Amino acid sequence: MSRKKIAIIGASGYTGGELLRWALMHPEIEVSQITSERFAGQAATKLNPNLRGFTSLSFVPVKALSTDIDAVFICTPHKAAAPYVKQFWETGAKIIDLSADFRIHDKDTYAKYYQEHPAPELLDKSVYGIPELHREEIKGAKLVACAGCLATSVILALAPLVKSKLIATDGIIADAKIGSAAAGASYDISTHHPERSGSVRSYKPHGHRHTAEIEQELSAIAGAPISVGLTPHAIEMVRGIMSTVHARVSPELKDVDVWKAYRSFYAGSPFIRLVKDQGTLYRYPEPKPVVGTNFADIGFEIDPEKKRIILMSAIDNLVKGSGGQALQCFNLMNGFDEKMGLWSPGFHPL
Amino acid sequence: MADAECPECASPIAIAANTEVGEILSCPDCGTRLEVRALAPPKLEKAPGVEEDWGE
Repeated sequence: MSRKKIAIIGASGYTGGELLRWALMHPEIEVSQITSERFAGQAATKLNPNLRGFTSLSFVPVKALSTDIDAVFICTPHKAAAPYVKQFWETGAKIIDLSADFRIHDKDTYAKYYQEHPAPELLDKSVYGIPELHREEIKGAKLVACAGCLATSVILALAPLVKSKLIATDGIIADAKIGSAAAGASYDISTHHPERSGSVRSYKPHGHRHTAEIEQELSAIAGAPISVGLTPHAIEMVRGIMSTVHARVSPELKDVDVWKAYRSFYAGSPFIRLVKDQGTLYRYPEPKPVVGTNFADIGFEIDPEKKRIILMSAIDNLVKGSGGQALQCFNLMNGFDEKMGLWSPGFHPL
Repeated sequence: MADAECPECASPIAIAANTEVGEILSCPDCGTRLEVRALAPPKLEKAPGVEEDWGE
């Protein structure tokens, strides 16, 4: 059987570049076209020097894009993605949208956090792209809206405990640290080296856009509204997210209850690793061991005196937080093993 | 080969046939050091830690 022919729209950003890296190594994918308006005509390796020797593709403008493809990955910013989704909805291609345009099912919530939705008629057609939550729906989906990177890290830490009703559903606080690659390949004064280097910057103490999808997904699991406060910090790191999540628990909660909840929820989820290892320097999750991988490392500690649980969740924002998770969804949509092309450890030391 | 359960995290732990009472094992999931207290049936308990003796 021939390999699946894919195109990547908006491939010149960091997300598109990371997706291209994985797609080129995937045994069932042929990357047919990659688009960029700004870099049209230039070789992909001009922006992605790590891909030298792996591809001769050049960027094309989107108007030159062929619709004769099996799947399209859309890596443009929100609002810019919706017109492409509408265009490819009429074709036979499967659509994997890495923007925020189809993550939020409610158009009023989308409007609150973004702007008026450009294609509300398609909002109920998308499946939220975290395979560990929606594996079966993704298998039959035509449109998958890949989850946000911060949202992925927070949701994966909380979902099993919400499902098992081990935590209070109010007063949940997520404090996230994130690397500079999450800001994208475009630049402004905030990314200028003298301004960015060495910073630990709280850039959106409340009201971050990913709050909407976190609450949407966790509320669906709980069957009742859940409120989560999300405070991300930009820190001195290129790749990676480290989310520390605090929730109230019963003082009777034991470690073994939490272990069982995670193991049960993530049975059959190869990219989730539970990390709470007393016998190593790496006792809890941290970004370095997951950089360059599609793994989400999750750990916890119970503080019985304060009646709270502290959850730690580490991912690579460009892999499990975007390009890798998109390919994981693609695998499921096409009946492939979800690990295909993604089963790789990271580096150590890094 | 028999199976036991980690008392800390409930992970299944394979007990090899030549294991002896008193041996120290490590849980593959949570890393807890476990002492084999019995074999038939297998029973594991958290191993005593090394006490610090640095004086006061």
